Amino acid sequence: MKLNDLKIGEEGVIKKVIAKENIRRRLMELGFLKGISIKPVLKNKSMTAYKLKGTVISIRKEDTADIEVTL
Amino acid sequence: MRIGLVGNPNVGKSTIFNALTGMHQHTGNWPGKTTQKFSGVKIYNGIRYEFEDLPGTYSLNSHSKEEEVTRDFVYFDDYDALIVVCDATALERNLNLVMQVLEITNKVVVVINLVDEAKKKKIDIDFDKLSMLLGVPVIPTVARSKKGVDEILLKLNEVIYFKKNTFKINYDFLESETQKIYDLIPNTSIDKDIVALHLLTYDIPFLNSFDFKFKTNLARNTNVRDRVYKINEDLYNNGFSKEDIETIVMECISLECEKISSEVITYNKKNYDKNDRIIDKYLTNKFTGSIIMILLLFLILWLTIVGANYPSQILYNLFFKFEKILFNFLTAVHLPSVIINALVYGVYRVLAWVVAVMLPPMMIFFPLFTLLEDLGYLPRIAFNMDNIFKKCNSCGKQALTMVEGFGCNAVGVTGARIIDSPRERLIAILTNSFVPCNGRFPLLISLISMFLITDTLFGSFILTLFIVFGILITFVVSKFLSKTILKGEASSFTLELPPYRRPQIIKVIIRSIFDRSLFVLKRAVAVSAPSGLIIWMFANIHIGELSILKICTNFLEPFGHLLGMDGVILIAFLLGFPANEIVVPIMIMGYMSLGYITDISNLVELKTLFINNGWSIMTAVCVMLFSILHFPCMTTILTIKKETGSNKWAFLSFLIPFVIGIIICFVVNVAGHLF
Repeated sequence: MKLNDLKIGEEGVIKKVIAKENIRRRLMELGFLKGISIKPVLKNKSMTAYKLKGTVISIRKEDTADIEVTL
Repeated sequence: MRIGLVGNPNVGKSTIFNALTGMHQHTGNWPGKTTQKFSGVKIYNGIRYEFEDLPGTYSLNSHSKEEEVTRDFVYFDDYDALIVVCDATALERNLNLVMQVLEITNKVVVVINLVDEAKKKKIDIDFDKLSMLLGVPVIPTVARSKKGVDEILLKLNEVIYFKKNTFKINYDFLESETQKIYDLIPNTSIDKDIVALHLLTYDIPFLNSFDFKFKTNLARNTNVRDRVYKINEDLYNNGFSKEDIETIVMECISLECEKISSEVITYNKKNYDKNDRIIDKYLTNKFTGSIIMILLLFLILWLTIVGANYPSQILYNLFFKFEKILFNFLTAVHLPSVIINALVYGVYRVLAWVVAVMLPPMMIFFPLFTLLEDLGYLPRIAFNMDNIFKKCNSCGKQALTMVEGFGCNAVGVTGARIIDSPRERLIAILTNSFVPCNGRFPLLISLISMFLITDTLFGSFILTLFIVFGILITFVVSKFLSKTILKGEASSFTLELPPYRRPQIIKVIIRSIFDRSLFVLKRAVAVSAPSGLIIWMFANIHIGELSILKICTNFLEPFGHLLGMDGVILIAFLLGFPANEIVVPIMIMGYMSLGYITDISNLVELKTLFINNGWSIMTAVCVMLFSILHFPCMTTILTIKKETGSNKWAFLSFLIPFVIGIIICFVVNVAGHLF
């Protein structure tokens, strides 16, 4: 399933990081990598905030649309 | 001893830096870059330490201008040791940077900051074990106490004498690939593995810095190029693209971090960040989030107005008492009367006015703002406002530049560096002046108080409305710019939402008072004083019957009336270009035609002066609108020139608000006369 499909509070594990070139590296630096646990904690019309590696990072929905996760 | 401080953003690195250097800091620029350099020198136990605070970075392979400064320092600069600062509540991710640093050098002290916050969240860290696993000292610190500093210095002295030994990260099958290029890489202080990895991922910025330091251009070496090409081709044929290699590198480092984290970090409370999430729920939801933002704006304005009133009065009285002393002194030393008048009634009076009127509001506004910042609230504003900014083809981080613009537009402009997309950065820069800076507050506040409503609570409410209007104009203009001269696609960006932290209130207040007083006084002397002199000359040098000032105001009179103002007001704004805070003194000088400000010590007299010169409520409204919507001050324009490196954008940043201000005032004036 895709990262955007996770509901708030639902924890997933990242399977594959697919993203636009300009943001992909930044996402990986922030911890978006295969095998990492991730959980959405806040959502608004434009962005979703995710908890991972002990931190909270928010990104626009279009930028995480292609990231694959498993529950 | 030269020590560098590195760390992720938001870990409280500057707190550690401040603790190590005290007040002995200065800022400059890194050679060849526009990034600010913070260094401090302190002598402990007879040894001279030079601490360099490096830009916060998430990874040594980051490609933003600021983060590359950190990368270059760690890889290529000459230092005796490094301090890596971590946040105890975010250690897992922070370890990423720690590992990357340890790959380069083991003369490292790891400082784990904010351990009190971690304790509150029942996060347990085994510091000794971590130290053993990393091979370097690990020191826990608490933000507010100075205990850590001594230990840091102690350990720094130890690691300086460490023998060179670097942490090895297992890069899986890539290790056999990197060995294939060993022979072509010169022996330098950097491990060949690392250089090879950068070659395989075509990291040009790294190679350029490598070339700069070691005078070996690996990128242009044909042997190297061919070998790298061959290795990558083989990898590609086996299913690994360049992106995959980058990804594998990061995954390997992450794996190492996870291994260590699982051994040293224990989360004893499953929902340790429950409180943060609850607060976030209220601060970021569609309904309460917006209300709270506006309420906070209102609150800060109200506190600033109420709190600054009395101290301004006191300062004012003080300065005017001193003026008599100054006058007598200058007379006693037999200076010519013209010079005395110029110095006392031109320079000194403007100076005194500016300091009396600017200092108290700044003393209140800046600590309040810094407290909000330290609390961690500001990124939430960006989170809330991203949607609106997305509709304007910009991004939520622009909200942060606007918030900084309240303090000073020049700071708002440099703050635009947090926006990655150059196009969106320009939009933020060009529209920053629609948010009134502290220099414009006194004008706005006194006009509201004189012509609209004297009650401070209601007055603050009206000021909030005017500012919200300025923010709405920001949206409209941003959207317009993104459809015309700054066309482009919406960008991608990431925004970290740090945990809420209790700010050190006393420290913030003391630091702000010290900082801001210095700033206001410096600016008053450097800008307001000379401006005061020039304006005094304009008002006292006569061509024929009229002073230069009078000639200018007469000339601008018709245009001023079109905009609901008059010639004096317009010339005040124009001559107020160096600094917004001198606009009111110029207006007073213009109306009094005395060639100097008389003792207008209270607003009642000021209002009488204005009304006698034709002011109505309409005039006050137009002046306030123009104040919010006119060109930025000289300092801001110069800053824009520096940040953008272009005269064109500096000029546009002057023109765009100016034109908007003219249009709006004209429309409001006409509308006002029709009803």
